[in-house]
Amino acid sequence: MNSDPIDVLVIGSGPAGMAAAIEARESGSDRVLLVERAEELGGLLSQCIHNGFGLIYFNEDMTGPEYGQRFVEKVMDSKIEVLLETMVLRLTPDRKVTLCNRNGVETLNPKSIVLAMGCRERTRESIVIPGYRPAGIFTAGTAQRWVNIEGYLPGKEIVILGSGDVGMIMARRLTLEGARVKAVVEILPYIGGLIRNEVQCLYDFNIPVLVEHTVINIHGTQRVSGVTVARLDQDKNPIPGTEKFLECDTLLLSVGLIPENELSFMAGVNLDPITGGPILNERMETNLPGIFAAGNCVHVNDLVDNVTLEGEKAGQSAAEHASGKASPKMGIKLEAGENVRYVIPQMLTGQREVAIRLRVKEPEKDVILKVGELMAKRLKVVKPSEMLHLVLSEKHLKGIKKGAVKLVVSCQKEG
Amino acid sequence: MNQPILEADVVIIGGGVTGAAIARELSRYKLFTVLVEKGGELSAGQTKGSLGNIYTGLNLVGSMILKSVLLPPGTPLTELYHPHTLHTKWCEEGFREWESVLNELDIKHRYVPLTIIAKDENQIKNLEKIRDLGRQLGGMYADFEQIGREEILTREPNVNPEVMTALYAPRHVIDIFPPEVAIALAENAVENGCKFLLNTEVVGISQSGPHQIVQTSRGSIKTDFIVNAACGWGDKICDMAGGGRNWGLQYRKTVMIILDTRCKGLVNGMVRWPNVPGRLDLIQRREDNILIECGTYDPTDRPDDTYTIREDVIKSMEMAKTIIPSISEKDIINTFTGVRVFNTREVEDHIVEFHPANKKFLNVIIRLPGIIGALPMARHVVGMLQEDGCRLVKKDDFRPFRKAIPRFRDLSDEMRNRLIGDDPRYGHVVCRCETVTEGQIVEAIRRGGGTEEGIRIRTRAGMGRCKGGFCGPRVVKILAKELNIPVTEVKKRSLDSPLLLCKSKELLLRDEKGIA
Repeated sequence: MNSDPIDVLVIGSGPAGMAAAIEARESGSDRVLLVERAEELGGLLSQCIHNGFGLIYFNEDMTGPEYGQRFVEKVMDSKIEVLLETMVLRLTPDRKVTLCNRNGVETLNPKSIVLAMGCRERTRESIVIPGYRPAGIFTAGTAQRWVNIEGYLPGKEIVILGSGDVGMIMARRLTLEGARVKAVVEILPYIGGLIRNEVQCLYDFNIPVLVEHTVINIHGTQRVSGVTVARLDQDKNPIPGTEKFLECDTLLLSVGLIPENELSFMAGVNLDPITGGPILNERMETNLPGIFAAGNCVHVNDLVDNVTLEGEKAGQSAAEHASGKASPKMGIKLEAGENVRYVIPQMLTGQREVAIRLRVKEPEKDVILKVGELMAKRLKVVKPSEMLHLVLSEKHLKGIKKGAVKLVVSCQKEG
Repeated sequence: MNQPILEADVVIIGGGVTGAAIARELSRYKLFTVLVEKGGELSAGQTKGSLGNIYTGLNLVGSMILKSVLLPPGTPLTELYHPHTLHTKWCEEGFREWESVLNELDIKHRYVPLTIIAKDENQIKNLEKIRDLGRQLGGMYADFEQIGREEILTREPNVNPEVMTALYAPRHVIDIFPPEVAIALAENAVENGCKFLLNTEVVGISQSGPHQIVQTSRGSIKTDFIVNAACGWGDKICDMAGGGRNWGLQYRKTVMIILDTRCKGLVNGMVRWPNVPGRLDLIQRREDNILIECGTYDPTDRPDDTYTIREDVIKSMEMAKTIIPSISEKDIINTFTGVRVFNTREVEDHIVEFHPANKKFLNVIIRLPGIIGALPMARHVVGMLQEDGCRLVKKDDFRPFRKAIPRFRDLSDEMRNRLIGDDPRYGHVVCRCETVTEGQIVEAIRRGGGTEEGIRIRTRAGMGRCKGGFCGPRVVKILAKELNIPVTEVKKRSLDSPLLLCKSKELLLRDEKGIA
């Protein structure tokens, strides 16, 4: 193997990781190493066989594997070194990365690292649904892998708890496979995922939706035999008398995604308690110099196109760092204000243009989105499921008062 | 009558720690022992849901003191100590004995400190009773010290800062994983000639001349002796051998909670409030996770009532926060319910005796704690069988040692590389949360782990925070490949717990045929 030092090591080859690796090469890094624990490149894209990918980035409507393939080919063409079925066992603050695969365990010390581990699904255990522990309870993403990659159906009669995007997509997918989806059950008064999925996956297939409901009981000791659902009151407590038994052999859970940051935590990267991901500046750099992050391990994105853009930013910054450019100080804090759940990045150096992504807490109409006094933007509708984007240009940044330590981002109702 | 599928000297019914310990003890002798277990995996019943520590001294005194409210005033506390019960004898002998057996069988274990804390007058009074009884009993029961607030917070820095005093015993708890104990005992018993049959439910017991016939869901077994180690199902098994049972079983369930490895620094050992009747409130390090048992022992009418009640989880977390205030619901990665079994005749003791109507049928009805006393218990059982006419001839070639499946996560990089050099499958990490490799999974299958749960309890694959989200499909595929069965035949645990119901397109093709 090449004994030159590695410039950029990217952990995870999903859309964020592939984009970071490609961009790092294009920004001049000689040795870029892309590490993937699974059997092939692409992360979860290969199991997302539905369309809706690439509308922003390629201005085309593509499936997940098609979108992924464009980047896989670029990775192959750009002399990026790839290690598959390779797990990162350890990460230290001074960028020592311990890798493990069939050739053995090895510790590398790259100049820059991009964290692109993606996210994992919240489980039945983490939301404490009562009951026994029968077979037949799957997270939506694992069910998706079974159906689309492995070629097996988790069940024939299905109830889905949670209306996240993966859950809705699986409702349609399983219906197309001949399974019966008896209900999509959502705790909130509205669907959790994108509007397009609500329409194309649920309404177009006449799948019953129960909002303000939850599963209060799982029946069956060895295999799921049914679930009991109930309507919820304003405090999200089940209303007695509204219980309903739904016979089914499978319960799918689409109850949220958690950024995967065990390695970040191990290394000592500061994490944001709201997003669950690293606290970053506009270069996608963490508090540890030379360690960058992008994609769903930073925050759970709505569209893959945005993940790619984040990956490119991180890859470019990682290459700059590898070439010896010093890391600027994290100067100004971007704070989530009224009806804003979180803002990425959380820190600004104030020196260059920055793309801000944020999510609101509650759905609202006719709002003004403001970044301190620097800029304001009117919006007709905002929804927690859809990310909002702002760009602070260098001109805007000139408006930051000397000595300012924070900027509040708010989403106020107009008038 | 069907031809027996096997002829044995002894049949043990029940594959928990009790049955496995008896099997291993019997395997020292020239006998053919068959153990039958109705579950799809060993330790499927009470063992799996047990708190599962091997403990001594202070914890035992804590349990004794529970009865102190029933003592007439002026009675010495030492009245609470019953040295002649099997329960007390085995607890006292067992703790000392485990160390060498844990090493022989390569069972992962660690001595952790026990801290019983108190913050208010009532608790302090309770704590002092434990202290006084412990000191009066002396020996292992007195092997602790009383420490003040400052020292508590040095030893367990995250404990409720309102604590006033505590009893501290540095080596009174051995942290183990209960299913591993049952499996290790079983593997060693099998290596020494025992046979274990899973998914084998006993449906009847009958006599055939001098022999007995154990009818099971998989055929009948002819045997001389039967040992009933079915714990929660022991009453039903006992009745199959004849009437005259003068004891019953009572079941109490309690919920336990596992927190993410991220929280492992929150406690160093076991931390608990002094015992109060009807509940147990403790937090402890379980390997690299945190285990919370702050449950009430609620009565239930079934030994398999492992139904987890949401309110119990919420209440347990509230109670747990009174011990370690910084724990959080966000860190819960698992909740499960265990059923504790008590007999109605000997409230504080085990029942180990021959059936009143069948002198070659030995009831071994163990109450908790079961694991601590399992080794002396097994010797006692074998002694009783001998007195009953079972001919014991020691084997010259008994092999006491068992090697665990390599615990990749715990090894140095150098050791890992050696392992991968010998078998590259040890370099392929399948379970990311617990760092379990393909090599370990294949080895677990070779040793009899034939289900998803069998792999989980043998290797920890799927036991971490993502609950098999990543490794689940991979483990199932390895199982199918190694066992040479279709993916749809892989089970979660028992025969009626299939994981995948059919192949993609199968439902559509069926519809088409229906139309045609």
